[in-house]
Amino acid sequence: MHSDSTVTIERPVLPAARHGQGLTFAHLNLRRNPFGELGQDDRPGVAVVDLAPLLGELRNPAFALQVVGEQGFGKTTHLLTIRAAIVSATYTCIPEGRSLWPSIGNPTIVDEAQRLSRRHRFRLFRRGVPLALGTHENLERELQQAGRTVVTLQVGELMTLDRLHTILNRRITFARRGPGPLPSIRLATTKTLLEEFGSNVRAIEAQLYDCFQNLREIQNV
Amino acid sequence: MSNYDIAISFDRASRSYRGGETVSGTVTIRVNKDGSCNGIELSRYWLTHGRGNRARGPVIKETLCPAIELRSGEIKELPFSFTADLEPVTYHGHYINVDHYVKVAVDVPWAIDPKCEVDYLLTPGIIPGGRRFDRDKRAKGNGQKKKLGAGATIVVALILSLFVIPFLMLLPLLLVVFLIWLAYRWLIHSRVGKVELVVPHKVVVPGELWPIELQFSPRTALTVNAITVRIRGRERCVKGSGKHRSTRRHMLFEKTTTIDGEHKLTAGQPHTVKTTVQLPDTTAYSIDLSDNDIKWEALVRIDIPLFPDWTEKIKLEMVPFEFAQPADTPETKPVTTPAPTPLVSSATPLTPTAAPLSPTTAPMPPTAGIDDLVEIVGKLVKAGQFGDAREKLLATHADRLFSGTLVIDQVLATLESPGADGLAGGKTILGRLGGENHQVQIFTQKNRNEAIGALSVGDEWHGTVQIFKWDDLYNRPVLFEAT
Repeated sequence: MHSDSTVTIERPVLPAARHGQGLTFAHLNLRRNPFGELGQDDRPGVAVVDLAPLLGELRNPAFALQVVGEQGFGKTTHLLTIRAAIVSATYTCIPEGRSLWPSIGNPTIVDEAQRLSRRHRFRLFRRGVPLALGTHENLERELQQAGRTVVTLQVGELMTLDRLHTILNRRITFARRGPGPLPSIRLATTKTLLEEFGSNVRAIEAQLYDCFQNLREIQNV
Repeated sequence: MSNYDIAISFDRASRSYRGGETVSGTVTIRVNKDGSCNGIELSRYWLTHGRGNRARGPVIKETLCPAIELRSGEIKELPFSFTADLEPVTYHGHYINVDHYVKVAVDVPWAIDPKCEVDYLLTPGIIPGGRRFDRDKRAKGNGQKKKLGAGATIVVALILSLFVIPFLMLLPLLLVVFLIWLAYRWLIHSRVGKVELVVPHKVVVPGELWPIELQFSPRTALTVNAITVRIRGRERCVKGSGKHRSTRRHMLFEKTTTIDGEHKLTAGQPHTVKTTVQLPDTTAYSIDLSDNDIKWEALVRIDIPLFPDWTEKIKLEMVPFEFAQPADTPETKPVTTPAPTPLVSSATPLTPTAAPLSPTTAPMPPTAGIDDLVEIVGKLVKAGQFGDAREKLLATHADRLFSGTLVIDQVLATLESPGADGLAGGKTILGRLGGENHQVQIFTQKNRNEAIGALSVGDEWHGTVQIFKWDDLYNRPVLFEAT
């Protein structure tokens, strides 16, 4: 009953044939595809975040910063940048379906804070440490009820053409292999991507990942 | 300008090392500003990168230099050396990449440590411990086992559903699904009967001609459009976690080969297909690193017109050729030790003479001529991979010695110890048996390296050999030089 039983489909392009046995992405003067998944330690290195006005506030025990936005808009990058900038900070990502009590630091950074149980939220918000929360839900009211001064960053609203252009090219620079030229993203390409995907950096990265995977030489994309 | 410029150089410009080899190089640190450091540390690890969540191997650290004061303008050169990991080997694919790294960090007090990370290539070398693949073990298709597993799963689900009230509502639906599945299996079985699918091994190597044997006796007169084997390899990676988890797949290879054409079969008439399927030449070896994996499979299909097809999936494990050594090595096999035989090439003809035996040496079995070996090799070829005829032949002639001449095609270094004394670090000769087209592979004694190294393509090698094993991949005997 199988309709194409006599049809032979072959995809002979295999990694070995395509890349040879050389160092990965050496032909682009890169160490890896710049738009691949980053490790937690790498995030601060590529972040385009101006935290200077907030660093002083993040030492105030009654202060809470909440970074609100959809998935892929840069909440975690903001939080990891804070962790990298402040030695005494702790970072906890609350897993789905569980309400972990976060590790307490100064400040205490909690990603996916909307997953915290009501009891944990109540206790944490009244703890005498500065807070930096990444959340899909606006927790401003609860934080204010706990007597905190709240600053809310809406990450989707922060995205501009120049900012996105900087973010994308910083990703490329971060993956640099050695001295010399690098590929780059043109402003016109950035504009097209911004129009198509809006502030969803993750979706833009997915598009550029495939583009760089097929890039044969250093060029402006 | 940073306070320290760090560079890592390897002793090989290609930065390519086999598993188990020594990786060495130099770390050069140029100091741009006076300062102290709490030590200079080298760490090495493997890491995945690409679209999936990252996987990282254990980080092995060593201190290159203790706490010191560094002066501006000073250039510090620190040599390093370590044994390369055995796996996973370097892989550069579409969504998945595996790379090995050396990272050097200068521990600067109260400051961000300057670092330098450099990748190197790891190619297959020594077989990782516990991963010696027994390719010679005969294997049946795993479809039957899987079907039983699926049936068992449904039964367990049914039992479980009895205890959970919400699931009671699903019980009739589950029963219907189960009955449809049973009817489907019965329908196919009523036509093709019991199908026996045998493959000599599921551990395969790139470029291999993979043997496959299919046997069935149809229960009714049956027309078969074709019997096909689809070989498929794909990358799968997972990004994110929880509800943000997304999976991406990339097909590396997909090819459907028709192994048997259209046939009209009568009821009860046994139908057998014995053939080989060409596997692709690839470096995409099977890996399973939780969120990143590469899987290979073969789907065998009996295409029946206007009827459900019989199919069976076989999971394959694609491993580097270097890893696919049979479990039976000379380490566990008694090796008779005849006297050393001198080596000769056509350029420097020598008469092969056996050295006199010491009184304590065990009696040597009589040495047969090359014609006997050619005859045995012919029988081994005819015996084929199926059944145990080849194994029996190998066992019968394992202790015999054969003396004769070989025409050299290639001389290589023996990378992995074949087990017997004196062979580790020796040479491997690929060649043809005196005038015949039988290809053979011979592990030679290490103490002959100098003489064998002087031989080139077309030269003759003369010596005494024993049969070690049969190489299914290249369909040739593997011999070793008797001492």
